[in-house]
Amino acid sequence: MSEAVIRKTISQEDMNRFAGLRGARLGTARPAGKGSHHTDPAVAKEAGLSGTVAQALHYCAYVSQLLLDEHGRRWVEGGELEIKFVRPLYAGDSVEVTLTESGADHARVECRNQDGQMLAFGNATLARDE
Amino acid sequence: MEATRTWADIEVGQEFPPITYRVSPEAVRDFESVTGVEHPWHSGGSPYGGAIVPATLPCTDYGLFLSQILPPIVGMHANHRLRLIRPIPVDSDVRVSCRVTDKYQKRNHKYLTMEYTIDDGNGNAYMVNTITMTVDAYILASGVQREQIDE
Repeated sequence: MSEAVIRKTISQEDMNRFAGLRGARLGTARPAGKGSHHTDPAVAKEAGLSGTVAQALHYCAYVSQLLLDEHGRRWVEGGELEIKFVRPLYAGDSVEVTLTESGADHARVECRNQDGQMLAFGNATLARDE
Repeated sequence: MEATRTWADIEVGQEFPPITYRVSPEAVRDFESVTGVEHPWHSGGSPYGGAIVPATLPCTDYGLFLSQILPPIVGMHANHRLRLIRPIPVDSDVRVSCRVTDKYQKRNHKYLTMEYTIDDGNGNAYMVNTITMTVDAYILASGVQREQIDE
């Protein structure tokens, strides 16, 4: 059973930049005022969180990276991913994304933090080889 | 207390006018720079005759529509389903169509599900996303206002 892994640490600066990507892409910007629970520790605290949390789609980029590296066209042309998020990733935390083959057309995805706690898990289905 | 739209005002089945934008090479470079992902197909030399967009780059597009029905929220991503049909060429126009497909309360959270499809503007889909997120609070000028949980 083959396994592929990516490990990344996501800083507050990374989270701020990720939050700004969509606005930069579309030429729009978030209205001036408060930040979000991803970018503003005060907002996160007021919302009852212990700190700012990364957007889950931030580290989903690493899931897709592994699937592209391992399976190429079978991922980008007919691949599917279903993932469930169970725990937040906080600023400065590390994420370890593991892709484990589970049959010819399937892979198990797990995302854990630096303490080994599960952040997200799911399954990817790959397009069949022609 | 500020008057604001809340989860209770959301109508399941609501469809939004599509939004079209161009995915530029700069947007791809920015995404790679921020996330640290990189692949030769993102900058050229792919089997598709040119560079392709990282698959999850447009996945945050639900925010374009969420902001039309709610103020900025504090929420957590609960589930995501991504179905890739074909890759998006870099420097092409994409059209995003979105609808609200579900909302419900479970335990101490209120949830919202949105489905959004990204196509080439002519109905040829690139990908379909389904996101389910919690709607826990609203970020207002006066402060963070918690969503009320029905007993």
